[in-house]
Amino acid sequence: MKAWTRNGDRIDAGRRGSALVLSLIAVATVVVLSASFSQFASAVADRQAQAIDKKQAFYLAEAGLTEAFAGFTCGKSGVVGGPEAPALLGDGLFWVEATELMPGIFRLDSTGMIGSGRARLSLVAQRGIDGIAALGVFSAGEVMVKAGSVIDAYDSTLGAYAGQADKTGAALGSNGTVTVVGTQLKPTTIQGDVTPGSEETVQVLGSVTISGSTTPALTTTELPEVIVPPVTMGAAQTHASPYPLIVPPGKVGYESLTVAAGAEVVIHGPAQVVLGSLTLAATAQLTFDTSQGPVRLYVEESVDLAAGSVMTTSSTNPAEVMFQVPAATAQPVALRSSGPFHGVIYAPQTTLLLGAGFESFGAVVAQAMTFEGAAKLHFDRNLAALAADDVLPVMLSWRLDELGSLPGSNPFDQLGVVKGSLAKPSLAHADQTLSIDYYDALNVYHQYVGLESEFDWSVVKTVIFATRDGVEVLFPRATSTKTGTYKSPGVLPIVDGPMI
Amino acid sequence: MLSRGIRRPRSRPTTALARAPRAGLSILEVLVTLSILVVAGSLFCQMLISGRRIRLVNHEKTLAADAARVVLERMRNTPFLEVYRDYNEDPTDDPGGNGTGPGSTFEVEGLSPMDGASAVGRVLFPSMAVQVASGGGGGGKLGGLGGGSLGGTTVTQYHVREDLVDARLGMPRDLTGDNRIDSANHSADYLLLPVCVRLEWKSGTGERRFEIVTQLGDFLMRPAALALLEEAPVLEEAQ
Amino acid sequence: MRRAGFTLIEAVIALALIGLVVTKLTLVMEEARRAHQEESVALALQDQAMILLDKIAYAIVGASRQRLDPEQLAPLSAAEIRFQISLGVEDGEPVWSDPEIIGLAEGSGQLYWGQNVGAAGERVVVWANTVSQMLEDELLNGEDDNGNDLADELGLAFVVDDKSVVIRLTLENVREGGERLQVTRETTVTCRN
Repeated sequence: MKAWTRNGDRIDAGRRGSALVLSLIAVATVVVLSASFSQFASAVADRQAQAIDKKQAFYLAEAGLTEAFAGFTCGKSGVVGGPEAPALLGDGLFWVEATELMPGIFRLDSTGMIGSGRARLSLVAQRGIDGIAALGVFSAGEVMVKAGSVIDAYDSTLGAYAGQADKTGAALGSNGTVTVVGTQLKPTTIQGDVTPGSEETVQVLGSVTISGSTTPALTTTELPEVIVPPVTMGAAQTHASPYPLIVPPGKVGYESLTVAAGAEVVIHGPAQVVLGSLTLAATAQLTFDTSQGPVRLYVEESVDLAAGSVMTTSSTNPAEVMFQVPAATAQPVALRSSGPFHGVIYAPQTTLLLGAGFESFGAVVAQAMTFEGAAKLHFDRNLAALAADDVLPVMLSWRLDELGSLPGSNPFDQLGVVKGSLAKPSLAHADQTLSIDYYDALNVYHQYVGLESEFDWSVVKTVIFATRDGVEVLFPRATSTKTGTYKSPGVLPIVDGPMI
Repeated sequence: MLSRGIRRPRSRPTTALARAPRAGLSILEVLVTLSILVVAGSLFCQMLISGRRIRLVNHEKTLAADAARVVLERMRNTPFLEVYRDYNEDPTDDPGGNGTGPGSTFEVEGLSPMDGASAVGRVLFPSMAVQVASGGGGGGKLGGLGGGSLGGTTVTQYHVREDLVDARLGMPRDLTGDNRIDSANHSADYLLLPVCVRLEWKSGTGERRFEIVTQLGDFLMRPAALALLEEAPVLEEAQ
Repeated sequence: MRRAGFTLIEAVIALALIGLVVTKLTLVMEEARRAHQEESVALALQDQAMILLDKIAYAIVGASRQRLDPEQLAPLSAAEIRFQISLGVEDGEPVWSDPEIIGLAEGSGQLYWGQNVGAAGERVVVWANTVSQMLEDELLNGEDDNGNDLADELGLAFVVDDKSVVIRLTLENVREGGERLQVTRETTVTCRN
């Protein structure tokens, strides 16, 4: 079609609108540039948003580990929620799975999700053990305390024993009968509780002072076995030289160690020393030097510390030395040396012979105990607090498994859950079968066996014994800085009301 | 002269120049084209400005997220049972002495606090302000002057409380592992400590907020095992 | 017959108008583009710095404090950090990764991560090429020039404080016109093992 100008000139139709075409080309160019810039900016913004969500997801996953570990501390399974019913915290969610790797060792895998972020952390924890040092002076079998003996207590954190006025708080216990003998010339003093086994009694003969309770225990105390560390055993060692023989720090073992009269052996910590047998002749000396670390001594077959020998420690902190006899020995473990010895002596499968004049600061626990004469056993109350730490689980490993982004920004939709229906972390723990013996607020004894979700913990005043899914529950410590119920084996709470 | 009623026959232009279509653009076309270009250009600039705004917002959020991370990581480096007293609102209960702790608020370089706010960041615990009577002396402290308060005052203390209601922190809940929710002060004996690190700042696009919620716990580590030697060492005497 | 074409005045006015508008438009767009470019470079550098810090932090968070080298450095700093992270537990004992290192290559501005460096199975990955030789405002003169209580710290500086590691990083780039742009960021991470 032909158009005409006002002057009558003809305008080619093909040329009409060329300005518009040019401008459209220019606009298209601008649009393309804008689109590419916008895409770039969007990618950068997405990356920043994902980085932020990942940070939040990381801390949510860590909250999950904390929740599961705290549950572990209370004897729970460590399972918190699940992908189909996670726990809600803030604007995100988490769940924790627990896998038993070995007896007592569990891996907790926690997954946290928020926005587009997802994180998975794992922690390997080992369940706590009941600390035996809190038992004080304990014999699984019957025990007879000879005349002139002193069993009392002190607190090593307050300084030396001699300077302390408060020597109460000792604990002498047994799963059998406890017989305490004293004479006019040699009275026996026990500044604390004497706790025989359940249905057993305390027999007092002669001049004896017991400042605490003599009520029998409610339950039998089981002594855990000693786990001897694997070491490379060296040849038997006999030392007779006047110069001290040094056992260096580390994990070492020897078939036997015999210290002749007048000779000295010094074990430097940190060390784990395994001996087949240990013999100290009269006037021989064994010293535990814990200035650089603790010493754990394991003697597997026989121990003979002759009268006149000396077993001593460089430190006055009993927690630093542990003398253990893991297995039953052919002969009783003879401890006739003099000290001062600050440490814990533990022989769960054998009999200890405590010589006249034997003195220890710390704790002495054995399968059976025989006093040959007046012994002095000073229980360190601080060991009870330290043993309470043994109750807590320990972490072996922490690992960041995964940190990534998910498509979309709503983890609730991703998992197909409704935010408002999710439980808070404390209520998301997997349910367990609880078996509990306890005293209520009126000191009435009760028993309960059933699902923990159906048990009302508010009625419990004192826990005597509890298991979750058959695993004994060890509660966090009761100290001046931490409160909480604590099961104290062999020690009976005061009962004011009837026992059912 | 021809009259208006008679049309001259239109003759074809004879010269090439005359025959060529009229080159160039009319001013109308030019103006329309320029208008379109101006609009496109302004849209482009608008997009740049919006993009800049989004980048700034994201950048501020990145700063906030990292600041929150730093605070939480520093908490992890603090003895667990001291975390609350170090990072709460009360400087008098700081374990290292009055005012030695970092406190509950913190600044972030690059972020401005909201109007009326003292700081950008704040640490929130399951914490409650409690009025505690502080006795003005008492016989024990004043020796033989006899008992009784000499005019006690109340002070505000901040306590970790299990019975606090705060859904974001999963409260109320047991914090000490005794399976009970009580109203006692657990500022120094918690087993688990929920915490929210919240940042609020004034941005070019308005007020912004960001927070990280987590739970702190004390993961006790087993002491490192001693190395196992291949051979038992030869014992030597000390000279 | 009317003559085709524009009059001189029309042409001059049109050209003037076009020139004016196009010039103005061009100036505005150029200004916007330049401002955007400068800000983009700065923000991109900050963004890159944050990403790098995150990467380093997540690499170190699973490390063992006892297996961190340098062990204790505050208030001094180091331009590299050697560590081992936990891989899990086997037979009740933790299993540790091969030795890893994150550091600043001397003279090249490269931030790298390495494993088994100098040994069999060596792996090295360069994470960034734009790290400044010295931390921003810091000079190699034995003094604390930038007031951060550290002296002569390089563009990548690790400061170990108990279980925490403070990571400082300065990235640099060159703007249009040759002007050097530096961005410094820092973060803190605590070893969990």
